[in-house]
Amino acid sequence: MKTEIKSAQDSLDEFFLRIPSIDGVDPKIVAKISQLYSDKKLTDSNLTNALHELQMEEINGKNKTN
Amino acid sequence: MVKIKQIELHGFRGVLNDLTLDLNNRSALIYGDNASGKSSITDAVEWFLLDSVEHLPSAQETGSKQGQALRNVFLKETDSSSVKILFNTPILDSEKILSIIKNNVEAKQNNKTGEFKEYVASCERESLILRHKNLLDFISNSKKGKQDALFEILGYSGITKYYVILRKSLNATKKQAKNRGLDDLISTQKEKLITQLHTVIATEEQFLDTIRKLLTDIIFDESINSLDDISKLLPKLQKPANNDLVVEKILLTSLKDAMDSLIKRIPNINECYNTFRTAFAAFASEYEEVKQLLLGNLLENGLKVIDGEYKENTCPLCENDIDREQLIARLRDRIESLGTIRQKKKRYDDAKSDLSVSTTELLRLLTSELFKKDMNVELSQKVIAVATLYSATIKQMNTASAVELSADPLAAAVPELEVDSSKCIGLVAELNLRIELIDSLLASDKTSQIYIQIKLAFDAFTEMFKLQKERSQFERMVKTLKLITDEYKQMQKTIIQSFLDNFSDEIDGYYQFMNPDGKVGKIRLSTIENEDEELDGLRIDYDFLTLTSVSPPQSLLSESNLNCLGLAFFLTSVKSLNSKNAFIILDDVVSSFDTAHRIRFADLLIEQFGDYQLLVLTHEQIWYNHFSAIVKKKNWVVKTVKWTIEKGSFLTPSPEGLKQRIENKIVEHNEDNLGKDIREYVEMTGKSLAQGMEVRLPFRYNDTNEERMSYEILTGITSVINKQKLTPTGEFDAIERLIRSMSVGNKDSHDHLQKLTFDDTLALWKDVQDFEKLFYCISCKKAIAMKYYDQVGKIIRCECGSLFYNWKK
Repeated sequence: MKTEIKSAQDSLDEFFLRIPSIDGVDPKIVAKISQLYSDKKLTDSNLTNALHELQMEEINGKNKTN
Repeated sequence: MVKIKQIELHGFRGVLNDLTLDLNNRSALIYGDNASGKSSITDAVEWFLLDSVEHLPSAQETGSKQGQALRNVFLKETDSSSVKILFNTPILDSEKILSIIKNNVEAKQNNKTGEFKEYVASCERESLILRHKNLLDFISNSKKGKQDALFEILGYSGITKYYVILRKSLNATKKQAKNRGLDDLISTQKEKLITQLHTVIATEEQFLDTIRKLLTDIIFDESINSLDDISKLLPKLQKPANNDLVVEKILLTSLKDAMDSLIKRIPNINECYNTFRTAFAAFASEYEEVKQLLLGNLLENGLKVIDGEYKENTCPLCENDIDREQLIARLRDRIESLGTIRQKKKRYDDAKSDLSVSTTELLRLLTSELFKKDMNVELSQKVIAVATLYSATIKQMNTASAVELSADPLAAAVPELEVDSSKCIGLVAELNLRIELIDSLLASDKTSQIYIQIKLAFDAFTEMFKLQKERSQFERMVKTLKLITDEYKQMQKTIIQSFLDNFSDEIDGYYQFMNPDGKVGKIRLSTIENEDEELDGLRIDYDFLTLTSVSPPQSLLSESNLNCLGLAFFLTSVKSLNSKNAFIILDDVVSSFDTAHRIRFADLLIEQFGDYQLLVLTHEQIWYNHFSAIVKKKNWVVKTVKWTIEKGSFLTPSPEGLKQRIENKIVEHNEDNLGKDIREYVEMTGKSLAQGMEVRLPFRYNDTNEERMSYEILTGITSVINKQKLTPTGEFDAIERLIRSMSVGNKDSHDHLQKLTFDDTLALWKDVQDFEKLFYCISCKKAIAMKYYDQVGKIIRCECGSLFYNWKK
């Protein structure tokens, strides 16, 4: 019995929907990646910038509470 | 299932005015010479449905960013270009318009319904378009390239694209974390803490506990439960009497720590600079190779152009004649041969990047506020002087690392530079002496000593805490990206393997249909992985005559065989993935085929894809002639695309369409181009008739053959009629009248259009109609032709036999 073949788009949509449930991933980082993908903006430079922004938020944000 | 009723282009790609392809859900065969603009139709459908055109620049971006390339170059800025597609489901009909608004190209799809959005989204999931380029990549690439090309054919290219993005991001994050040197920076802060508090501090609680113990020495009644409490406490510990000494001690200690850090980093920056100089010198000594690398950019860009829109069989640089496919293959070879030089360039780039990171980090330290505080004492001025000297040297190194290789490396000198750490070491010794002296002066002031200890420890702890957070964030990023990339890798492999497992039989079936000679046994496909377990290529095995498991495919398969394989993949994906659309576009996909394969491919389409609406575009005239003869009987639309500078690309009208246009103009008394239309109609009808009657004309090569004028064709027909001695002779005077007509018979009139009066034009049209009556049957509407020749009665006739003439072969 043949299995149903998924198109590239279906496979990608499914993958980026599934990544938050991968064991051990950081939810905020995953949320950024998923957001970029759903906005059709997942490129090298956009991902680098998003990760940098997240890092700055993490470092500076938590410091303020101390 | 969705089929196309009509495609209408205006000012889009090669089309300047309008191009309307009326399909009414039927398949179409479209012929056009290279660069005639037939692919504008493919581009239009791709852009309309998928919002980008894969082979154009910035294909990864949205369609509007490709706007300039999509608009016809001769279109006025104020005019919009558009693509309108009507479907068999009218709710999906839409027009997509590209306009220039405030210097930006903006795209707007008119149909805003949910059904249309859903439909367009579903198109991204289907295999709809196959171009010659996809097949060529599949045929000519290495195993890795073959895999990428296969992904492209199957519509899976997006999968590779996102894997590359994720992997690049993972590697960049790892490198960034390493270059930041966070472990060393944290160690430095830890050492400072040990120096001040004489114990190892790992947690905030340990730090607060140690501070509380320190405060008991001076019996200070203050509860310390957080870092904020320490911030509030510090001003209360300051004593005005010794304040200058305290401030100096804190500054000098910070400077000493910074100097210690510098001493540790100086060997690294010197090493980075030397490595860069060596790499640079290696390039300078091999300048000829560097020049080849520069040429590499030209070759790569050239390949993009030639492998894209450029269709001529001449080299675009030297304009010498050369087969385009050969040129592409040669370019690929030359680009590949640059591999070794590229490796050297990579080493140079890495050294340059490492030096840049190191110099940036050190300059950040040396230009910090710490080195700007002039305490107006000799020692701090010495520190500032050393910092300024080091900054200057490091800036020189930084400038040297920014020298572009492309700007003749021999001309750009990279000086010998070194940061001399001895100055720093001597200064640290002086700082220590001064610090010891201040300590002795403050020996009796226990509170100030504790203030200094707490202040320096607090600064070190907060800095360490911040660096640790930065490090753990880097660790989280690397871990998350690694987990996602690994998962992605698995998904990628699963998809392709699943496709191969499920559809090997279909792929083999289509392949065998196109290759019935039986030389190639069952084709087996499997994926290849590299040492990182990444999908690294596609293995194609097959049996060949008595040989078993032959691989790679190109070892025994011809270019035509490989082309079959690529087509088999695409057609399989069409049947397996397409659930919404019943149309596919095959744009120039037989170019790498030999004649036998082209014929078998035509049979395959007719026999196994009869339910689909096929839009087949080709520039191969012989195949077009063969295929059009078959598909005309199947009620396909058969069209030719031409290009002129005035109109851009356009579909040549059918004789029926042209006749209708002429008659409409006559009714409307519209003289605009009427004479030209009639001449074109006579030429078209004459050619078709001459072909059907097998009128022999002098041999000419293809292009020249196409340019035969009415005069030559009509004279040829007359000659045959005279030879056959057809009766009644008088009726055939209509041909002579037509030939005599200045507007039609004179070859010059085609190029230098003579202005006719409306009455002249009506008389001309009457001659044309009389001419037609001689050869076209009023019942079946078909012309007499040798294919209906009656061997027994020796007559040439129309399809139904109502119109006939005695005819000797």
